[in-house]
Formats: sequence, C-alpha cells, structure tokens
Amino acid sequence: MFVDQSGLRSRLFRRFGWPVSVVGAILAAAMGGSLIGMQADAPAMEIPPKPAYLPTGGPLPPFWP
Amino acid sequence: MSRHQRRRQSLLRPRRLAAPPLRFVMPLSLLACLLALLVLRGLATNEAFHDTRIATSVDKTTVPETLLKGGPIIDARGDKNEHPVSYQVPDRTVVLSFDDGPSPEWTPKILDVLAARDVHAVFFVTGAMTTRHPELIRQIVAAGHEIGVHTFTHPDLVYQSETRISWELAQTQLALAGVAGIHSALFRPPYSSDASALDDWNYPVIKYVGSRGYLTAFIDRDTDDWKRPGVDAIVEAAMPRKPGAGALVLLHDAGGDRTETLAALERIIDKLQGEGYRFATVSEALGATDANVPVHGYRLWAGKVFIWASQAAVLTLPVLVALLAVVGFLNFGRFALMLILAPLHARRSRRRDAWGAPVTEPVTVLVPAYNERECIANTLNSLASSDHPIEVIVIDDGSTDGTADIVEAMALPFVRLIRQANGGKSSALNTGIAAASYDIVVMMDGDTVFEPSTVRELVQPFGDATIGAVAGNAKVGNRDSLIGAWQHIEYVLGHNLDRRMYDMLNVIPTIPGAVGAFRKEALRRVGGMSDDTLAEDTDITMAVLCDGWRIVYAERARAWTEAPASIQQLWSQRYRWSYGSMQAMWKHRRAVTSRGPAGRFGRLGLPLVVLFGVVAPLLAPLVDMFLLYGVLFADAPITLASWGGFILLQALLSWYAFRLDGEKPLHLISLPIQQLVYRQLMYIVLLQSTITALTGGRLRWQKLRRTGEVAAPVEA
Repeated sequence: MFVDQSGLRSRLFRRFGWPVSVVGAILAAAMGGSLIGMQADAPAMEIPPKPAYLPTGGPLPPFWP
Repeated sequence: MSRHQRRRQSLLRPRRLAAPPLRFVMPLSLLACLLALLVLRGLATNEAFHDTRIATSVDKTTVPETLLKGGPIIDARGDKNEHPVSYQVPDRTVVLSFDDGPSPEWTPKILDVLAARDVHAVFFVTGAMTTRHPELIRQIVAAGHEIGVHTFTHPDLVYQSETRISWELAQTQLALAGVAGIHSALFRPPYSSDASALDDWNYPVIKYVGSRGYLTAFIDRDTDDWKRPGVDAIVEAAMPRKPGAGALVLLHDAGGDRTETLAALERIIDKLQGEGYRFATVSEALGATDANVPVHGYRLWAGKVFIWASQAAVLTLPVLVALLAVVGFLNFGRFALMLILAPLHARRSRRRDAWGAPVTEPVTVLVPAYNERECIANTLNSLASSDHPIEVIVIDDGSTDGTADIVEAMALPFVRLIRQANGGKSSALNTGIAAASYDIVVMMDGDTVFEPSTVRELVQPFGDATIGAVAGNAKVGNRDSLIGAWQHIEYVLGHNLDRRMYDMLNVIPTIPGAVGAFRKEALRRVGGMSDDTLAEDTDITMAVLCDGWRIVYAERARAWTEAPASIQQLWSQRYRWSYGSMQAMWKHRRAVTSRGPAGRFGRLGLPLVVLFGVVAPLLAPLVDMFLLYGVLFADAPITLASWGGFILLQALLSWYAFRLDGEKPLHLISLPIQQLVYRQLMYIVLLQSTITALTGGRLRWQKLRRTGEVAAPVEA
C-alpha cells in the first residue's frame, strides 16, 4: 500500500518540493530581514537659519540674513 | 568495517556535501514563512511589540530654559545635537497637523475638507497604520500634504531603549518607502504636546532622534479633539494665542469618531483664512526643503517587499485562524467526547455480568517471536501463572539469536513451539491461528508480560456471541525514565481513554498487538492476518469491524510492554505505526460508502480516526507557531496563561484517565515538558510518514532493541 514502484511521485515531490522550499526560505528570509530595521536615519532637510531660540555659547551662531 | 575500506575518496578531493533532506527542509521553510507572516500581521495590526505604558512628566532640570519657552519645532540634528535650537511658526501662519492616522474612515473626509479649501497640512502617521492603509498615504502625498513619522507602534518612547527607538523609526521609514516611495525627516513622539512639556525623560529621546537626522515637531495648540469636547471647544482651542501669531495645531484623524474634528476643521480654516492666515506644512512654514524625500533602489524595493508581505499576511491570517479553530475544535471535541463516553465505559466495566455467563473454556495464546532473546523467557513465565486455562503457541519467525532454543530449553508443558522461515509478523500469526486448538485466540508480543488474570479478563467479553474481538490494556513497564513516563502518559490518556471512547461508539480502530483476543471464526471470515500494511493489528481490527462484529475494550486485561527507551527507537516505532495506520485507513477507505456495519465504521469510525489521528496532529505545528508568536512578539502573559489553561485541562483529563486506570498520578508531573517536546516529536513523525506515504517511499519493519527489563508486573 502507498508504495510507488515507478518512483514517479517521489520525483514529482522533489521536482516541486525543492523550488517551493527554496522560495519559502527566501521569502522567510526577506520578511525576517524587513523586520530588522536597518535604515533609521532621516533624509536631509535644509532649514534656512532663523531659529526662535539660539543657544548661548553654542558652536557658531547660525547665519542671520 | 576498517577505516581503510571506508575511505574510498581521496582526502584531496573535496567531498560532496549531502543535501539536507527535502522532507525536513520543506516543512521548516514553510513554518518559517508562517512565523514571519504572523509577525508582519501582528505589526500591521499593532499587536506585536505593543506597549501601552505612558510616562508622567518629571523634573526639567536638564532641559534648557529657552527650549521650554521656545517654538514647537526642535532641531537637534548634526552639530546642533549638543545645543538644540527651536523654531516658531512664522506670524500669520498656521500648521495643521493630524496624528495617529491614516484611518480609512476619517482621513479621506479630512483630505476632502483640506482640498476644498486648498490647504496643506502635516500628517504624523504610525508605521502600523501606514502598512495597513497604503492607499491613504498615497492620497495624502498626492494632495501635496506632508508626512511625518509618529513611530511604528505608538509607544511612549521614554520607556524604550535606543535600539527600539531606532527600530521604530526604521520600520516606519520602510513602510513609507514601500507605500509612497518616500522617507520623512519630520518626527513627532507619541503622547507629546508643546515644547514646555519637555522633561528629563523625553529630552534625551528628542536629542537621540535628532542625532538620527529628524526634526521634531511639537505643537502650540492642543485641541484635545480625541476627547470629543464639542466642535466649539475644538475651534476655540485651535486659535493662536495672540491674534496674528503663528501656531502649530494638533488634531487627530484616527482613534475613534472624528465627526467633531471634521466639523471643527472646516470652521478653523474658514475663520483663520478670514483673519488673513495662510496654512502651510512644516517645511513651508520654515522655508525649508521638502521634508518628504523620494527614495530609490534597494530601500524602495525593501519597502515594497515589506508592504506586499504585510498585506499578504493580513489577508492570510483568517485562513490560519480558521485552521487553528479546526485544531481547537478537534482537540476540545475529543476531550468532550472522552469526558462523556469514558465514564459510561467505566460504569459498564464495573458490572461483572456485562457479557453474560463467565467464559471458562481454554483459549490459545499466540506469541509471534522474532529475535526476542531478552524477553521471551519473561513472557512465557508470566503466562505460566495465568489463572485461565491456556495453550501457548510460540511461532519463531526465523530468529537468528536463538530465541527458539531458549523456548525449547524452558520445556514448559503448555507451550508449543513452531519454527518457520522468516516471513513477517502476520505470516507468523497466521501459522499460529492455523495451529490453534481453541476457538478464542489471544495475541501478544514476544516482549510483553501478562498478569495472571490478563487472559481471563481479556476473554470474558466473548460470553456475548456478537463480540468478535477484544482489546486489552497495554501498559508501559519501563516508565521511570522521562521518555518512558511520557509514553506512559500517552498510553493511559491517548490510547486507553481514546479506546474507551471508541468502544462506546463501537468503532475501536486498533487492538494493540501487545494484548488482544479474537474469535477464530471472525479471523477466518476476514481471511486472517494480512501483510498489506505495516500495522497488521489496525488492519485486522478494521476488517473485523467491517465484517459486523462488535469489538470491546477490556481495561482490566493488562499487559506490560517495554516501551522504546531512546528517541531513535521511539521514532522508528512511531514511524511504522503512523505509516501502518494510514495504510490501514486507506485499505478500508471503501467502507465509507458501504452498507451495513462496514458503512457504519466507514462513516463514523474512519472519519474520527482520520480527524483525531491525522488531521489534528498535522495541523498541530500551527498551534506551536501561534504560541511562539504570542510569547515572543505579542502578549506573553496572556499567551502563556491560555497555554497554561490548556495544559491544566489536559492535566485534569489525564488525572481522570489515571484514576480510571488505577495509576498513581505521580508521572503526570512531566506533562508540561511532554507538551513541549514529545508532542512535537509525535507530529514530526506523523508528518514524515505522511510524506513517505504521499511520495510512495518504502518503509520496512524495523526490529526494536529490547533489554528485557520489564520482567514482572510493576504493580498488580
């Protein structure tokens, strides 16, 4: 019972099983990788210097137009 | 084999690495996908990593006085990190900001109001909401509004580590990239208000976020619209403190009914526009470059993958939950059936006259033996003290270890020895059946020990002429090791309580090979034992049932067997059992559509065995995935509590089963560990034998190694 003398079923299992497993592993890795949170830095944003408050004794006072 | 013979390959030639077997790789890779999907779904619904704690404000000794009194926008980026500066919204300018969204119900309506008045605003969105409603973010960006980062899971960052804060920022940027192809330079911490609320706890957070390049936007005017104070109150609270002064106004587009916010928004815009105010985004108000910067390449695609996977996860979850419900339904259904039927069975078996007149005529005991050197003497000695008249036939199935010689040397008067060339267990049994002198045949294994009363108890049900076979109560003798104790629990709960249940439904699917009795007439009618399957005991039981005989369970007919003592032995035993029972189920599949007793078994017994014995265990890994997800990513206490509840329920049921069987409950202490190791082993074995069955692989009998340690009954 169940035994497949021709080996056809086992070949089919291998033929489809390996691609499925590899794709599954890649997907799992991609999904896992997307949860690590690698890129946390904000993009650059230039602000013309006219702040409401300037620290005293700071490095260089921003340029005041 | 010597080392020289083995080394066929030159050491210089690299040896080809054996590929890991597909049958393990495939389930593992699919389970990994499943767990990843669960976590992604948990993030999108803000269930994973959720933290509801909110800090209350403390001292402000470390915050510069001027920041506290300054504007709502704080720049702690780059070289300003040591000494952050703050910006006011310019005069006659209002920045409208909406937090916590986007929400599918309210954000589109708010966008409509803004579009109708040609006003730009800022939306501080959470990563979770972004992931769940990508279309809304695209609409917001397309309408020219600005997006700010409001963290992914909306925790109070005061309680979070820098790693966690960094993760919250990164994950939100990833979602924004995937949804709209942008990153944002704007940030607003959850639970924040105006700059004067900076304190010793949240100031470091602002500085850290600044060091990662973010401009933090607090507020000037808090409308408290989430408390729904009425439209008038919201409009009032949104007005700048001094006429003509600039203001950054906080509103919400998610988190409940926003009808008041929507009505107030129209009035705020109309009123302020009438006063000559302009509406701007943060970057417009500051005259800065765009806060939303397009992303390209790897970051864009990583974001897209994240969003696609999250969407898929949200969509597949109902399927997973449905499967989980199936598992739960099957498990609890089985528990319920056991709880209803086992007491009935126990009551029946207490009645001594259940089967009519006592059976006293002698019976034949068949002992098929293949290499049972260690155990056969114990087995025969235990039969010698039987209190029921018996003849014993030992069928030596071509043993190579001198088992037959041991039997011969014992020279027991009631024992007949038949030697045959090795032909398998079913052929040995058929030989024995043919040689049996009496009408009732008891079958046992060569590694099993009977109590004096076992045979008598086992054959009493034959007083009822409709009963064709009787299942005995197999017990684990070597139960003092952990693995033995686990099998002991499994035998008492899984096999014996199950068997009581099946007995009451008259669909016992398996008479254990270790202890069972058959009417010779029933065996003859079904054509004796067959070697079609590796579980000849299940096969013959099903055949006898289909032939219309009744099969009952005699719990007092105890037989002590030596359970496999190593994981490897257990593995090969269970591999054969599950493969064999699947073969037997498949062999008797036509019973489903048959008439009469076979149809009854096919439509009641077979589905139960398939559901409880195959479907439930095959879906069981799903339960473990949910457990793992719950403990690691969602609410660990609740997950552990519900798991504990399930264990407790199982413990109660096991305790009841132990009581019915007259066993000491001592071994139940290993139940929790059993649930964490043994259960998994069992379903992996089942999965492996299912794969073998599906792919048509060949599985052979494997002889288990025995030590002969089960000599006499452990407890009478």
